[in-house]
Amino acid sequence: MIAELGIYFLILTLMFSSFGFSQPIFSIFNKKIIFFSQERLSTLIFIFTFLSFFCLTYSFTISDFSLKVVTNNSNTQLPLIYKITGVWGNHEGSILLWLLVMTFFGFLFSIQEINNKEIKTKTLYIQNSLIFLISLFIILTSNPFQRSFPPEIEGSDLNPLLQDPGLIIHPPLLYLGYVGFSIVYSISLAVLLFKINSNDFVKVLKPWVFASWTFLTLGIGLGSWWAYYELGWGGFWFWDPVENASLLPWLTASALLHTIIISEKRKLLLRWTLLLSIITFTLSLLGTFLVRSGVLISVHAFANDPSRGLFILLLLLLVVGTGLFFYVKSENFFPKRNQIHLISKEGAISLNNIFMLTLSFTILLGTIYPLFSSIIFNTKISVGAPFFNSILAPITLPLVIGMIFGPFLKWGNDDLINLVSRLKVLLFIFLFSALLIWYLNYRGPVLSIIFFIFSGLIITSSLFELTNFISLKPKIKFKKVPMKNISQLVAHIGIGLLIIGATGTSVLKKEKIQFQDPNQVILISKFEVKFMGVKNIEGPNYISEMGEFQIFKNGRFLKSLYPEKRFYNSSDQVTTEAAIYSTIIGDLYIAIGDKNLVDKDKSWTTRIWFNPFTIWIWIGILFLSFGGLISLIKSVRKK
Amino acid sequence: MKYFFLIFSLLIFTFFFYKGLQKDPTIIPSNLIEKQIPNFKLRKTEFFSFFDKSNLLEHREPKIINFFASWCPPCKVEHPNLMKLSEKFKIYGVAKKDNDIKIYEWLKESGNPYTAIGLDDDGSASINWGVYGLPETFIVNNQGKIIYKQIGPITNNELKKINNILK
Amino acid sequence: MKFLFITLLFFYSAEKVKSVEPNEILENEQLEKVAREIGKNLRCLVCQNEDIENSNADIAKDLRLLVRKKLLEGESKKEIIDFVHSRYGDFVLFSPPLRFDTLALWILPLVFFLFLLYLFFRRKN
Repeated sequence: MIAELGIYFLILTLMFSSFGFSQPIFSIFNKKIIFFSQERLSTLIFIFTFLSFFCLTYSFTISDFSLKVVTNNSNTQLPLIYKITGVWGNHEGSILLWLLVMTFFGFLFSIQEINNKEIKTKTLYIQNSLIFLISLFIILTSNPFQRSFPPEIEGSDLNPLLQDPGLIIHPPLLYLGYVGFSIVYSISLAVLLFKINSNDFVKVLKPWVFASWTFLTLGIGLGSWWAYYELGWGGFWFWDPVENASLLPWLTASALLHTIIISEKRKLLLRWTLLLSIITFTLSLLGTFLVRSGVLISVHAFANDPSRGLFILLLLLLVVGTGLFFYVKSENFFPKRNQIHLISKEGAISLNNIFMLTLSFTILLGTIYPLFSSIIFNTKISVGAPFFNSILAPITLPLVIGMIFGPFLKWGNDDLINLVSRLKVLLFIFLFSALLIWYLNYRGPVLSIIFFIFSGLIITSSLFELTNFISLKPKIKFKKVPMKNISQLVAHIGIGLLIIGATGTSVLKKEKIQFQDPNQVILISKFEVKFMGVKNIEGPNYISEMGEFQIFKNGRFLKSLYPEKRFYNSSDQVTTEAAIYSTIIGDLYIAIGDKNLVDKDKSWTTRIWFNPFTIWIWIGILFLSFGGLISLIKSVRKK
Repeated sequence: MKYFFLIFSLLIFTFFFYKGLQKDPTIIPSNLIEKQIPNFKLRKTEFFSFFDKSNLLEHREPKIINFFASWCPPCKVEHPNLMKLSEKFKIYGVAKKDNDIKIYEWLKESGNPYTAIGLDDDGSASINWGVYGLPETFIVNNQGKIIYKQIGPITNNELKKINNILK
Repeated sequence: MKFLFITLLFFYSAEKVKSVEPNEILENEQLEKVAREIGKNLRCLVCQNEDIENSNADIAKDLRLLVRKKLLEGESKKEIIDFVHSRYGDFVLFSPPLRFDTLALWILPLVFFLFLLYLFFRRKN
């Protein structure tokens, strides 16, 4: 019954969004035909989708195994929180969540106070049309309310890897990011399609770009953190196709974010703003859907279904085709006005954008190249971590240089010699910092030293910027720092911290893998790790082998860690739960392997790692998000 | 002019994506097709005739080499088809990480299609043949060249294909 | 559908990531380091996008042992990678070999970069 209601509300969404799309077309012939305004439609559509989603969640919560999707992805023994959040641990449920967020943002936009009514209505028109397409996709290929007959007594289970707090927040956060760009797209397409001749759109666009970017940053960061502690061996980025797919819109959105700053301040690069808006949303779609089509091999892959793949292809074509078509068409009423000098703030930002877009392009190329090559050359190749890691350095370092000097350049036209003389003090500090960092690290690999130096320089230069707001005469006084400077500072420091963390964790990792006897102590990076043995423990829906490790430093007891190996009752799957002790200089990361049955009776395979500076990755990402949040608040308040 | 470029690139994109949908990304083609039989070392079983590389080069006739194991379920699925093939062709079996007695018991019960069997205890022979899973089957022609590789169990369709190749 | 089922059966499900076992690690730290470097370049053929160092699949373990055995016999990194490449083809290498058909992978990004430079900084009259 509830499931029938669920599909009913979904059909209502389809119906009303189709009105949103078709009414304006019919009204060309008969002006009286408009019954619902786009704003009202957005509200109704949101309510219907919300109710539909509620029905699905309810079905999962009560373990309604007459629904196929519940049978395949849930289980009565599952803790309640995972029954609820398991709704989005599968394809059908997660796409419905996507739709929910889309309708929610449409609703938010409809109640937003926007001076330019034309922009508002036309944007909602595009948004509602997109909603129509997605709901059509769901009903035709991914219906979550499909019944299975006869109904099962018990479900298969939620994949144990997903039975984790990470599942509760990661997909929703990520979708808030991806789907936020649907509004960004809708605004831009509305401007292009309806030839809205007003630069107001930048002001309307800005908060949505910052909000979506912030959510996406948090979503990706959370995913990375989740992988780090969940997968059991301390990796946080694997260049898996789905990870790459999430990074692509983030990169173009970062470029968009910077372009909007220029557009707002100097009315330049307006066309780039529009173009990047279209591209970012296209990449969001590509990312969300690519892995559900069966075209790529990935650890994140859902069950493959070619009919979905075909629909997705058409959807992508429609979205990017329409966007690019009207972009090209708009050249007449939206002429280019770029006169950007390389040595200027716009120049630095533009150069940064170029590097970000190149990185984006290269990652996309690497990800789809195997597909491309198999069709043209009939070969089967792999493009994996070694390739991506090798292109990362040459592209990221110039980006970092841009971040270091960009904030000090003047708008318009600046002079290199003048710049150097302005920054005399800073350059001296740079040299000093570089030498210091090199001295502290000279035993590490060269590339890591370079990265540490550069990230140190970003942080130094950002802090140095603050000195512009301190006046020394007649007495020391702190001027109020403008919000936009704060957000830039915080975000750039975040990048610096992130690079430090990523470099340390991946390049300077220390490892000790061995058979460890109870009471045996392993020394790793100034820590003493004492193995105390393994106990069997019962969890809600699993049995666990839990190891105990006591951590000492210089003989002083610090903490006990309890890594586990969990055997899930319903699915025969085993997961490794690592135990982590985080400090600011690095993480002690411990996992247990198998019991050694051959040699001795009590020893176990233990894996102990020391990952330097890992925590700075997460702190860096938080800084980044915080910077975005500050900008968001500022752009919303301005109205 | 710009429209042309746009439509052209969209068509290309569609073409690739569409073609990609029809391909199975999990099948890895063999790198040893049209190459000579590789070197490999096997261990002799207690119950069956043994073979090595020189046996495969004898008699100038096509042969089938099948990588299997008694602990491998899909191998059991393809077994009847192997029995059918063994009526016309010589099949040489490589048992990967297996146990003499278990092989004997299984083949005694289900029938033995193999002219000879060798044991690959450490997986090195499998690696030399580019084998990554079980079962995998190779067809060698009368000049000692590998001409075909079957990945996964030999289903009825595959059986027809193999019969055609060996004609 | 049946084919899919059999294919799935065929690829034995590997337990979740465990990585190198203690008794696989070489005594010589330098050699072990090289073994890891090689391992990061070799794909676990039955996994979803993992390298042989971080998979518990049978073929991954066999390849890890093979790499270390060959290193102890004195073979070079290139020789070992070439050997595995000759048995399993391009797919087993995580960084594609430099060839005519893979050239685009390296050249296109450069072309794209130069193109963007042109677009952003060109002078309009």
